[in-house]
Amino acid sequence: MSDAELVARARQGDHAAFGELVERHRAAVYRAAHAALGSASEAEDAAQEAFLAAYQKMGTYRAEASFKTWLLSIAWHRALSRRRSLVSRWRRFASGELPEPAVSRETRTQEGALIDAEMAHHVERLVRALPARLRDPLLLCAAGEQTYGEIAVVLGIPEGTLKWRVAEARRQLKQRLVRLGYGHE
Amino acid sequence: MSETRGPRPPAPSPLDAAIDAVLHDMVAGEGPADLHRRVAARLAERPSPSPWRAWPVLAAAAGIAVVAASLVLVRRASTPARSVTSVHEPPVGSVAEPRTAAPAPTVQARAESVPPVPAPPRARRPARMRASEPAPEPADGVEVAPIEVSPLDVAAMGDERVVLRPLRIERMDIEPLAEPQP
Repeated sequence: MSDAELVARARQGDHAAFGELVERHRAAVYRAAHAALGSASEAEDAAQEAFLAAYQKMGTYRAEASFKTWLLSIAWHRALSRRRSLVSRWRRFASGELPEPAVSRETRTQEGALIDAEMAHHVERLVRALPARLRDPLLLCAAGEQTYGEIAVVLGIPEGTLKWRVAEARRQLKQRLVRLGYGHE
Repeated sequence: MSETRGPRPPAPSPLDAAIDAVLHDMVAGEGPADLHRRVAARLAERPSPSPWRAWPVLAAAAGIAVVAASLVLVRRASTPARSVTSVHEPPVGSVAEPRTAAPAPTVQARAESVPPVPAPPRARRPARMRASEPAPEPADGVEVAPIEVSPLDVAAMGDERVVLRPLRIERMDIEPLAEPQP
């Protein structure tokens, strides 16, 4: 059954149809939230909120974009809102930015395990230090769930701008890694 | 919509590979496996919007509408009456005393024992009071001492003329500079 058919059923109050949509897009929504929040537990909560919001707003979906893109837009904006709230809460009690959530050893992939742990730590720190306008597109693209066009819709920027930001983020990361003594450009 | 897949450049350098690996780790995960169940539980908690649940809101809205309509009707009913009185009301100053500085004989008229005196300058009263309210009559047997107002002696302004004289331009004799001597 296609997304459109499931959406039509969910609109009529079919919870099972909506459940199927949740199951199909769970990973994409979670990864988008993870890209925005940088924390697995926060991303889980944000994903849940995003699905609930999508169910409530189902009547406003006009099929101008795919259901997945529409859903990811909701998830992204929910996650950004959560991020702003977390940052302001953090600033109220402490100074500076949010603490860096460390990527646990368990979640490291085989690919990640191949590179030097110290270098990985540096890369992660540098990614988090990037300005949000460069970091967000870079991480959303890294999630590998969407095309550039879909990500551009989610972020509300032209596709060309998205590509430039991703390339610029990579360029800055490499430049800083070279300064730290890792390889050469 | 572009179908261009993603983020990976075609031939990654070692640095690119390292960046990709870390980025992948940073957004890895499938989300909680029981997300569907959690969402379903939350949806079950939230009742679906039904027209019956909107009754309190609708009732409140109807109440506000009724109050607003009655206010409008009351205002409309009262507005013409006000406009009629304002039309028949004499213009300010036409029936009341003239606003000239001439002394008014009111003091003399009211208290016969009191010699006529020029009326002191009075504070302006609202127009309605002038038109409708009669002046209070003095009580019998009460003598009211006249208020004396000494005339102000203001010296007339002198008519001194200012005479403007034309400027005189005096000639200046300028002598030529002496030749510089070596």
